[in-house]
Amino acid sequence: MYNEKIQKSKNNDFRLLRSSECQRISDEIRQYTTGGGLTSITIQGWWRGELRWARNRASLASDRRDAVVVVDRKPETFDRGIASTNQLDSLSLKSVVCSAERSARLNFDRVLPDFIVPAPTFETPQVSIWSDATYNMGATDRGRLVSSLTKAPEEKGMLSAGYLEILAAEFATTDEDGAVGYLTHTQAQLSLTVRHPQGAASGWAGLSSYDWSAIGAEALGSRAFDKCLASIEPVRIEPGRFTVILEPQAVAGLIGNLVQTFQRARAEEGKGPYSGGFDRSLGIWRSKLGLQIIDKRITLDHDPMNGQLGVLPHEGLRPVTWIRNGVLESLWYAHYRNFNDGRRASLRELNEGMPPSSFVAAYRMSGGQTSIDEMIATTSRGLLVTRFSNPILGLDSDSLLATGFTRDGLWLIEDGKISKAVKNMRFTESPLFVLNQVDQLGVPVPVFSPNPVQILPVIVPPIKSRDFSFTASTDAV
Amino acid sequence: MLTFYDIVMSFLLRFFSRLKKLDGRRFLAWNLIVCSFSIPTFLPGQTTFEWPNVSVDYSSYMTLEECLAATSRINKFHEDGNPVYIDTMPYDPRENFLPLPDEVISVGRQCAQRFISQITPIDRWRLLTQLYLQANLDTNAISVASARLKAVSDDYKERFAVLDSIVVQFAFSRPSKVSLAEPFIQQLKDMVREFEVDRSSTELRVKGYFRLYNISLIINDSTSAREFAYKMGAVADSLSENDIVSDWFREARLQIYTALTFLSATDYKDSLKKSTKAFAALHRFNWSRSIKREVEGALPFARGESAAPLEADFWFPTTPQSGVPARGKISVVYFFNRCKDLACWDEYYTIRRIAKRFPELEITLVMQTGGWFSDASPPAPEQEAQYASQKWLGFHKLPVSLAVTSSEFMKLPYPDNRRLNQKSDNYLNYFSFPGQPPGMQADMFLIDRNGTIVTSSLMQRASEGELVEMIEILMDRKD
Repeated sequence: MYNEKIQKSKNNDFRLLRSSECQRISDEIRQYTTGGGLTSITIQGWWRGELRWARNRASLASDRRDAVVVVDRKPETFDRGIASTNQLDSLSLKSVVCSAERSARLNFDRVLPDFIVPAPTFETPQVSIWSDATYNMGATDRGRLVSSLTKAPEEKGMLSAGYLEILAAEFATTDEDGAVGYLTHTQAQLSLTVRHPQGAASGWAGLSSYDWSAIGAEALGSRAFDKCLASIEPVRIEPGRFTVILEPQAVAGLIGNLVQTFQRARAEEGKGPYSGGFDRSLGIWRSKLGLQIIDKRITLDHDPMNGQLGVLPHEGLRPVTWIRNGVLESLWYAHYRNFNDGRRASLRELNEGMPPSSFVAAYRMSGGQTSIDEMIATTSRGLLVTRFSNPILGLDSDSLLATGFTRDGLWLIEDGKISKAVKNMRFTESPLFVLNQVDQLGVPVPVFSPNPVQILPVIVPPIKSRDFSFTASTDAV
Repeated sequence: MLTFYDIVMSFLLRFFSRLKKLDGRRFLAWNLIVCSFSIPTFLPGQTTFEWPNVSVDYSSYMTLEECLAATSRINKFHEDGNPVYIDTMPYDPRENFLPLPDEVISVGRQCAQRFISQITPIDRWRLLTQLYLQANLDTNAISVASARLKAVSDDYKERFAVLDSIVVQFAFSRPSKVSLAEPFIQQLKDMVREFEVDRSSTELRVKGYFRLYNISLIINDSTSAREFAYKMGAVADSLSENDIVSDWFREARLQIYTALTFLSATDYKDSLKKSTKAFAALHRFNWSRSIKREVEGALPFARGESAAPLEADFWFPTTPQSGVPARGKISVVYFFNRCKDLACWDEYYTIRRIAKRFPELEITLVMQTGGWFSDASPPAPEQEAQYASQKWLGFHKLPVSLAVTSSEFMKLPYPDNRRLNQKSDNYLNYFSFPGQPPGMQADMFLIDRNGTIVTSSLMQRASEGELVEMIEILMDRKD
């Protein structure tokens, strides 16, 4: 997993540790160990540049880095002890080894041995999620960019707020032989909101990617600004069932929660939307695997080898198709799961081990060729939705009924044209129902999907769907 | 005693222990996932140097639910701090009725002051009574219960249900306060007596008898308990065909069986002293009397049936020379797959205590391999059996024999691909007796020297006393 590019770009800076530096730290730590046994060392370093702004003025600008060394010691006659430090001088490294060994001695009586058969092993794929464009995005560049993004709104008397983050990180671990595995990755995100000073309108745009050059900051700035201008003086309309055109970000907000419910264990316990009923002849709960559950035009999958969908690699990560042409093809499960042995697997067992298939939060949804303009032109009466505000899934675990609000731009479509901006509304709808009522599908595009740990890429199309349920109107902008 | 720290540490250490078995690349991937969560800047803002104020302001608890949650939390905290892990101790029926700790009573009192019984809605009576009882505010509890009773409509079913709930609240509180509920118990008795006279509701009559039977047991009034158990038996003998096929009887028949078992306790012992056959016949009589049907060909819980010899692919510590359960020995056969880890430590201690008390008793744990769910190749059955042996015989040092059967299995077709293990022959031999009462579980079988199943039940602390008593009788018996 060693990345040559980073070595070249890092010759003149110290933002991340080089592989050779990690090897040196690892070797030094091993020198300090006493009592034999096993030693595992993990080094995690990161550099992050941020710029946050509000009311057209920067409120936070940072350029930070850190590196943490985690030492896991297992002296021969004791149990394991773990200690960490972010000081890399010799004295600190010696101290962290002492601390781990002291902890190991204290843990001697605490740990219950376990006697679980070793789990099957799976391959870890080679995935590259590094971008020089991201790594080279310096503080000055960030400042200039945000200055340009706030210019147009300020001139029009609008208020701009947003967040720009650039991150590069490295992970280095050593095996029992002292060899260092080294991995680097980058991530970037930009999101901004342009609001009317009296709170009469709001427009939003955002995108996240490992590659800064794929984000298109100027276009995002223009989109948020244009949406704000177009949504001034919204009118209230009666809630009810509407044909909706969901922009990709709205689709991701609704479908993202759906993807996380692809759990096999629940389905085979007779719970959730993917349970297919009790099979009396076998005495088991069937799942809906192999059955069509949504529109035939839709395929939902994830391929970690795809550059746009890359995620941090882990054991067992491999391409997966959750839904193929509307048919449920895969459900998430843990490979630790015993089955039908007279007892139910414990929660710990279910959570143990990573899913052998894929991350469930990164995905790609297939689409069509219809543009949003064409969708609008073919709609006699409907609503165009920019995005949803934190949809809550779980009103009903069987139908996955969700609720939430529209935000940052909602427009009424009449006779094939956008007629007016509309006040935000609460929706109460199941993503499964939406995907069963699809009229038209657009071209899939990446959307904003940051995550505390890493970017989890999401690629979805715009969707035109019938009978989407709005249950209330709100004055909130 | 396990603390949260223990659980977190054991999980972490267990997790890292797995890392040792991985090669460098997978090791890197695992660490990568774990360390990703440790990026400090993603943590929400928190005060590093000032510990937040965690003292509880009970005056801010606005609802009864919050107050009861507080008392429950304090009680759990107290129990967690108990240096004696109670599940490792022999069962004491009184432990369910031990007084609440002083801290719980104190919290209950502080919280209960916020609720005035006269103005609290009557539909909240159950929670309010519970809180008052926890707070030792017995007078208040009685007044709330009385107010609820006054609010009852003319419907005798509603009145019975309310009375029953009140009695339960008082009788099953900690400590039990049956004496306080005496007026309510008397009213319940009067109602049941009315049902006896006009024969208006057999269902409520049986429920009333069973409640009064239970109350009598709590206060150690065996005379009354016998009286109500007799009455339940009499009702069972006089049920109409409609009653027998009704839904309420499905639940009541187990209550009737329990009462009849209580009445026959002495007879059971005497019959077991004589022979397992007589013991089983008495059970057959009581069970058929309870369910109002003749049990053909089998006894409840397999009592009186011949125990099939166990078959296993792997035996630990050694393969037995003769069949198990062995003729001429008293045996316990325990199907162990149901139970796991900490939740079953009470069972480990029960087994150890029984084995220590009866060294000549032959105890066999019966298991079958589980395999993996995934599409990866399953582990070798030998490997799985070996791990089981290391766990139960090596680490837990259970003084037993371990019999592990390699599970036959099938795979469901694509896209399900699920592995379905077949029940082992041992399982089928011991769990396929007809006539077994529904809703009652068993995982343990006691077998006499002739190879006849004496009883089957759950291996747990609560049934340990009864099991020991039966083993003693069998030991003394000259078969």
